[in-house]
Order: sequence, then structure tokens, then C-alpha cells
Amino acid sequence: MKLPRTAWRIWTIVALGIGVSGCGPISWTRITLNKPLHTRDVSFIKPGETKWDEVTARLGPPSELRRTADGMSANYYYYDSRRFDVDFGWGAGFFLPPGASEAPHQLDFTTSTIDADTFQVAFDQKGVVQYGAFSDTATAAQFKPSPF
Amino acid sequence: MNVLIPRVGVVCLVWMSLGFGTSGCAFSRGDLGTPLNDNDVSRIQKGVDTEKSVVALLGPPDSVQEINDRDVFHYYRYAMKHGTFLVFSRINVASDNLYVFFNEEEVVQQVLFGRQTNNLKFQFWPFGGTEGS
Repeated sequence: MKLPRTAWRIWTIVALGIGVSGCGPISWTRITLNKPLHTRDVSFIKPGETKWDEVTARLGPPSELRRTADGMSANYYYYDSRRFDVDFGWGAGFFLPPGASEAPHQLDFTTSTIDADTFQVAFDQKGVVQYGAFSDTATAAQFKPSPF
Repeated sequence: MNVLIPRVGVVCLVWMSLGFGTSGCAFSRGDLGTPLNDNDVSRIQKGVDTEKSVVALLGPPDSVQEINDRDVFHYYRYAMKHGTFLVFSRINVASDNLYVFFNEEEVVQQVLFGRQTNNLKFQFWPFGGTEGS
């Protein structure tokens, strides 16, 4: 499946973010994109009643606008990832004899959880909401100490 | 056993101290796209400006969509602020989005602008809420 351009942009930024984050023997890293929308934030949206102007007045401009067969859909993206990394072998480099310390001694445990939400609102040609729904990964991002 | 526990404890403490000590402190910032000027955006007049005049004012849009047989210009900008302190890192990303809707005569019908990068913060503490982005 071809990813939309906005998705590519987001993943590029996230990849850059991971690249510039700390890389010591132990680290907690968090990356967030935009503010999350909650059910209470969008409870005013009633299919068949609410209009485009009201949605954008309360939620702001969407991250992405896409054409649909009978109107358009507005996508609001939110991304939250938490990554915990620990290298249990890192300390061995200080105790191994010269030469042996150059040999690989990494014992890296990494856990990463991602909460990627999209709130999508579809509008008909008159700008009236057809539906509004979250499409989330159902995984609340959290730091986990063990990958097992 | 009594001797072993303190020894393990000391080793752990030394390991942790070295880990903390060799980690650093860093702040970095990244931007994608040209910042949208509030004055330029406010100069766009509904019912007056055309596609041509909007391009003259803001430059070409980052994307053009055809929705309901009408053009929509989308200008965007992403900003990232990253902070690392010892072993904690946090990266906040936010975007500014400007949509300009035109009618069938290619005259501006609606301007929709939202700026989120103003509230973007440098943070390093990765725990808690999402107030930084």
C-alpha cells in the first residue's frame, strides 16, 4: 500500500527524532507529534448536522485534507512513542582486559511502544459531517523495562 | 552472601554512575518548510485574492488538492525541539497548517490557519502528559 505524503513526512521526522536522541547505556526517549484529541474534544460532532466551519473552528485546521468520492475527509494526526533502552553489556567494557574489550559485548534490551492516532472526519459536498471516528493502534504508549 | 550483596550494589552503582556520567546534555532543533508569516496570511482577502495573488504573496503551495471541483492550497511547516539531559530525551514535533480554499472562479473563499509551533517547548523529561507539543 502506498503511504500518503503526510505519512511519509511524519515518519521522516520521527526517524530524525530517534536519530538525534541520546544513545548512552540506558535511556528513556519520548517523541510526540501534535496534541492528542480525546473523545470529549470531538463529542460535539454529530453526523448529518455539524458543519465544516464548526469542526475547524473548534479543532483547528487538519493535518491533512483528502478528496473523497462525495466530498472530503479531514485527518488529524497524533503520535506518541516511548522507548526504553538499556545495554547490560556496556559496563563490561571497563572490566574486560585490553583487546577483549574491543570484542562485541553489547547486550541491549529495547522496548518501544507507539500510540498513533488519527481522527478522521468525512464531509459531504455541502460540508456536512458524514462521520467522525478515531483510528488508533489501541496501544497506549508506555515505558516497558523488559522486551520479554 | 553478606559480602556479595554490597559488592553487587557497588558494581551497580558504579555502572549507573558511569552511565549517567558519560551521557550528555543536548538541545537541538529542526524545521521543515518555511515559517508562515502571520502578516502575510492576514493579508489574504476573501472574495478578492486569486490563486495567482496568493502565490505571489506566499509562494507556491506545498500541495494543491482539488476538492469538490475547487482548488485548495495547503502550506505547512513542521518544527521539532529535542532535549536530552543525562539519560532522558524528549522530542516534540508540531505543525503549522494553512489551507486556502478557492471558489470556481479561483477566488479565495476561505482561509484556515492554525499555528501549533508557537507552543512547542524544549523538554527532556519523557514522563507525564503531552503538554510540550
